Amino acid sequence: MSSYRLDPRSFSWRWREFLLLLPPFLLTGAGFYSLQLQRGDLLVERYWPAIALVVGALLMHLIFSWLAPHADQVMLPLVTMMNGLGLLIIERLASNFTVRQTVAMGIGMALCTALVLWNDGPRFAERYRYTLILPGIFLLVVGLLLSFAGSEVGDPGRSVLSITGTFGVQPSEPLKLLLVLFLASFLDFHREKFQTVRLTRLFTDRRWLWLFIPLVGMWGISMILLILQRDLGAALLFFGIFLVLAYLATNRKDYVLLSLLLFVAGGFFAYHSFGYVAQRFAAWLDPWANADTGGFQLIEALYALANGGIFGQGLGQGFPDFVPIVHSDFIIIAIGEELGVAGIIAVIALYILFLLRGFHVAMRAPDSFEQLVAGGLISLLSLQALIIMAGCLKLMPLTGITLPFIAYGGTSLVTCYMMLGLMLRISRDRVEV
Amino acid sequence: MRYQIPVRAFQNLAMIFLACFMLIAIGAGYWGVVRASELQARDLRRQIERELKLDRGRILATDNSVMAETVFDDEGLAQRVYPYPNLAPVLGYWTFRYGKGGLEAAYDDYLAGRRGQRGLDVFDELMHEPVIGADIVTTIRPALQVRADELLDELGGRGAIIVMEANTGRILALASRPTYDPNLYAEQAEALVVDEAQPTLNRATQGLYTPGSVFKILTLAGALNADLAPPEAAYPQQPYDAPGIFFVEGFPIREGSDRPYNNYPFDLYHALSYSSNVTFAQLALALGPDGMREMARTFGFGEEIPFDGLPTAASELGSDAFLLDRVGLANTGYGQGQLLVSPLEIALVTAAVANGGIMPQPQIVQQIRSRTGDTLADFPPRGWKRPMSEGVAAEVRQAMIVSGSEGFARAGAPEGIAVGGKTGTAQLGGDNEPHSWYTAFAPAEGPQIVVTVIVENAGAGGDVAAPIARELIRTALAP
Repeated sequence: MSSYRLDPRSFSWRWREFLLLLPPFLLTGAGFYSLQLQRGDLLVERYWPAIALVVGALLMHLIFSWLAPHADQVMLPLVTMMNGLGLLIIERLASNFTVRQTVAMGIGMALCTALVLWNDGPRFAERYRYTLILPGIFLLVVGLLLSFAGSEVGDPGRSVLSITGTFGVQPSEPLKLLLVLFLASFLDFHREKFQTVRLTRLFTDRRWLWLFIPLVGMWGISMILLILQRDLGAALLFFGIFLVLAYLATNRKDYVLLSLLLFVAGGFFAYHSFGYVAQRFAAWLDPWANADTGGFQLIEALYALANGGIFGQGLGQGFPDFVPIVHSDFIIIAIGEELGVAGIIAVIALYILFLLRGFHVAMRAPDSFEQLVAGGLISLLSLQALIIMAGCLKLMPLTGITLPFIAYGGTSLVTCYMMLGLMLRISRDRVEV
Repeated sequence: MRYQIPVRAFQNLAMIFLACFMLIAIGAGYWGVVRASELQARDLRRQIERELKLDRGRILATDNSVMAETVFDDEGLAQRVYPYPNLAPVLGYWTFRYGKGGLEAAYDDYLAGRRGQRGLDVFDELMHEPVIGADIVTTIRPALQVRADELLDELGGRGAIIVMEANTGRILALASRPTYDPNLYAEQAEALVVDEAQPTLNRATQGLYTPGSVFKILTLAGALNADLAPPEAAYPQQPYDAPGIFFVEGFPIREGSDRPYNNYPFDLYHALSYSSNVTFAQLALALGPDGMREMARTFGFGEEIPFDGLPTAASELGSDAFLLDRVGLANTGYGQGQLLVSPLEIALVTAAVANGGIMPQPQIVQQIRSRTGDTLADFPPRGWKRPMSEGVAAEVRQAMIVSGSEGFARAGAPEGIAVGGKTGTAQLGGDNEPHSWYTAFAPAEGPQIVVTVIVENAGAGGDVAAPIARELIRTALAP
């Protein structure tokens, strides 16, 4: 199927996608209008992010209509809705960041389109699977060095590589993408071993070695992230995505359970050995008693949610800026205060639709490698959304990762768009049923 | 065809993710709806922000004139304005830094719009429509209030005035000096708290004073209740030991003036009218410590008077040891000793006499109203205590009327209006000038109002307090 060729003459109106794009356009436009009304200064330039979103999405839509008419028609509107909502909330919370986010959106959209149109994309990733490790290790090491440099200036959570002072790159974001590609190809290649080896022959069957390589490697990376970089969210995310892919590739629950146990054991060890992990836990269990050591953000987040109630205070009417760094890690809280629990549930509904659509694409992908890539990417995005929302809602210890497509963070947004591009590329060669 | 992952695996995974998303939604609902009110109560920062931008309800007088309202400055921050600052003892204050006082504190729930909203506004609340606080309508009559403030200011001293509706307990005017300007409370708060003159103390309700002769109304009621003071008998029941003097355990009880001794013997009404210390000392001795204690209890001593949430002080009869001493008991009978009484208590006692023995509960707020004028709550007058039977009340009333027409209390009767009254000149010992008391109901037949006046360290009740009351009765009953 990879021999499929683009045919410029095959232009076909993607009506479903076009119609689905209208609600996000309307919502974003109305939201920006409402914010400008409240500010009282009706400046045209403040509409640029919304205009850029509309233009960018329409451009993608037109290019797809022409060059990839059979790609999935629902995912782009869903992402446009999330991105529009994100721009709107960032404009409301920290309007000096909106332009940067808009620029990242443009880069992301361009890369996404390029990936959709790259015929050999998936094959390329499959072929050079071990080569992918190199940039991956590079990104991991850069991230670690950054966090060490950060701890010298008293900010151990620092993970942004600032290039020019204006734009920074967060190495852990593209790392996720590389990880999914590598794991998918590795697990797919060794699938038969996974499927035939028996747990009872753990020490006699040498093929077990192959099974332990990814497990130990991923466990090691997760522990490094947790202990050295103090990033529980990334550790959970990386290991979670390994579990998902291992399950999809091997269909072996015992292997997944074994890995999970190993991770829990590692977390337990870290909890007892490293003070800051225990501190995180304490701040989670009783933020009021630990307000000075990390509970403060969570307290403010819960207050903001309580203030929002069912339908929220209305855009621009609450005080979400009481919550520290609300525009990135806590953006769901800002949505909760101003758009209410109803707003949060709407966001969850968007992610659920996105998830179902992603699995739809994955199930219909032409082969198991592409199935693994699509399933892994959609699981990664969903898992990321789950972890950060659960942290904000005091359902699990708080972690500093972004809400995909919505939260402020240029690298994250670009990476998310690249993942969208890969998924659309995988859906491209199948005719919609 | 290359290998395909089983559909079942995708389905299982999707179900796990869906369940997790459901949990997140439940978590949002838990904090945002179930636990919301509890969290909001702890969220001080938002409470302050809301307070600073809240369109707080107004405080109105009976004629709807505004006593307190909120205006917004250029930055949209609320400023509380009190067009009639002399009413500070009732209104209290509203500040960001120093909290609230008076009615502003007691009716905060209504004024801030947390209570009293109409049921239909559930939708508004869901949509977080801006809250407009409810207005509270007081029982204050502005003309009378202005006159009371003027009269107290003319004297320049410390003191308090209460004008009350006799049968409902509604406060028509309430003044206390010294006081403060609630418009400037935030600037002056720290100085006001340490001020020796205690300007933030509402002397009418929280001030505790030696009552002097106004307490004789209570001793009289107690003695009548216990059948110890037959109205037809001659008084003092035991003769004087010397001109104007009666010895208790060797301690001389002296009359305050020559009048009782010159008119000896007299009837019960004139005992009050002439303010005979000896008569009331003997009545207290006859009642005994337990009888006096019981009498005081029925009049609400030892309890903080319920006054629409405004702070009040409990009046005190004296320690048990003091009352067990016969000298102490005798002194208490005519209003000296360890007695400490609030002006509000005396006003309520007077109202009970005027009202057939029923002591009303004092009332300052009569209605809660929305900004658009709808009545949200009406507060009817309520009785508080029943310290006397109707018969006893009639006898005490007759004694006060005689006092107001022939006795010292006559100084409080305006021309053409008969009153029932009682003066008090509370001796404080040492070089201190006595507190000047006066309490009265008017008119004598079918009482409408009760006036109680105290001026600290000002001299005889008939000389200082009574003329103020006279002027207020005239103003209040003017057609």
